[in-house]
Amino acid sequence: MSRAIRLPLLAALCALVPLATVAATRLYDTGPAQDLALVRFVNAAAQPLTVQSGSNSGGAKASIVVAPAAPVTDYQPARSDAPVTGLWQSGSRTLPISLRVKAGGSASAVAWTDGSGNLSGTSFTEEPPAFDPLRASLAFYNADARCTAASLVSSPAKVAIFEKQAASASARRAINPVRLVVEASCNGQPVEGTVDLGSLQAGQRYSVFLVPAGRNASRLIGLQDRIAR
Amino acid sequence: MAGLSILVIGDSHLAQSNYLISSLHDNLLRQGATVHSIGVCGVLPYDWTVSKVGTCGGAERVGNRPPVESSTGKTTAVAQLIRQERPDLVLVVLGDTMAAYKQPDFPMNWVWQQVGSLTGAIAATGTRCAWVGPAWGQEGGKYGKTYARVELVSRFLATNVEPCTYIDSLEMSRRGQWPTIDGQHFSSNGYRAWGDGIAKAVAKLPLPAAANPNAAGAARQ
Repeated sequence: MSRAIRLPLLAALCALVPLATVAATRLYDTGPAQDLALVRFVNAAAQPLTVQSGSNSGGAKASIVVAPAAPVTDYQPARSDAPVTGLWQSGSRTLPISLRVKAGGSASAVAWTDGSGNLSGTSFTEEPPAFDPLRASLAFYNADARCTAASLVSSPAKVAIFEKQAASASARRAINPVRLVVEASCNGQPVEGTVDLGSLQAGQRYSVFLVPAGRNASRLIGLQDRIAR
Repeated sequence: MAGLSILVIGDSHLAQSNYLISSLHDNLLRQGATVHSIGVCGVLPYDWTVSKVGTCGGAERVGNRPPVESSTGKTTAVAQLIRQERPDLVLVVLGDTMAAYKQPDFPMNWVWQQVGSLTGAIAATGTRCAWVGPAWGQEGGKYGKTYARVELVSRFLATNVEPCTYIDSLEMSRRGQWPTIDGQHFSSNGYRAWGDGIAKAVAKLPLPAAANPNAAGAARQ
């Protein structure tokens, strides 16, 4: 009985309102259940280095060659539920990579060769960064173990950006979107050379790496962070 | 805008006949543009770099013809569309499907990759593009939309869609001003207002004066 009453009412409502107006789109997901973890590779050596994914225990492997002319790869999506493993390779020499990256976080694996051609390296992991639409985000990675106090300043004004950063430590901070050239010091001594980051864009991420450059020397590598497309 | 060819691609906001595929498309036509609009429900930016069937239907409209809805609507890789139609402008309408409204944290890395995949594909063709960000909608509803998250998505897109020009839909209305049917999708009046707002923003873009007579579905009208 009640159905007999409701049906004409429904029909009347449909007659008053165009059907398309009330037709709701079917439900779909907005966004993923979990954010991506990201990893990138930094070749601080003077010759090309190969990165091979996976471990020697098996599984699918892929490799990329990181050239000194483009020493920092784009960020690649990585697993956040298991260690990211791989190898740096230079000829017959290898250096294992093992990173643990949180969902939403990122990691940078850095490698170089010492005077005898052996591979050395370090890695940095970062928490998910805050997004500031009005400012740029700049990270400073001190990959030179010899530099127990590394600092980064603007050039030539020498305004401090990062101060006395420990070896193998990194930090990220918001910075005004201005044209920026940086220089560094290692244990109070100036590092040769500057890095021109160009005109920083609000909402974009940038990185500067301080890396070993032979006996008792360091150098800078800087870039705007990119993600693989 | 007279004589310009515009390819409009996007998500559910273009995927039903009384959504933007009517209001925006009509407005661009009235301004003299040649328009081809395709909306696929629930899709993400990356999905427009490949061919993918949407999860909840779609619609397509060419020129003055009426929209054609389909329960099996699918994307076509934007590079292929551009190669076939040679539009003067690609207009992307995507935002809500990336917002993760019900997740506590904004998936910034994932959105970064999603947006980069599509802007990169368009940039590789050298075609001018504009990206229409999400509108306020109304808080709650079955998608769990919040004003804070939609604002964050919009601000992230505004700084990450280069080389596309960002069109900020949040500037077109007050919070909750346009009525919705589920918090996210608007009533016909809402889509009319949003379509008008987008078309006004497109008219202000530095677009080329010359038209391409063979572009954006012109041959199929």
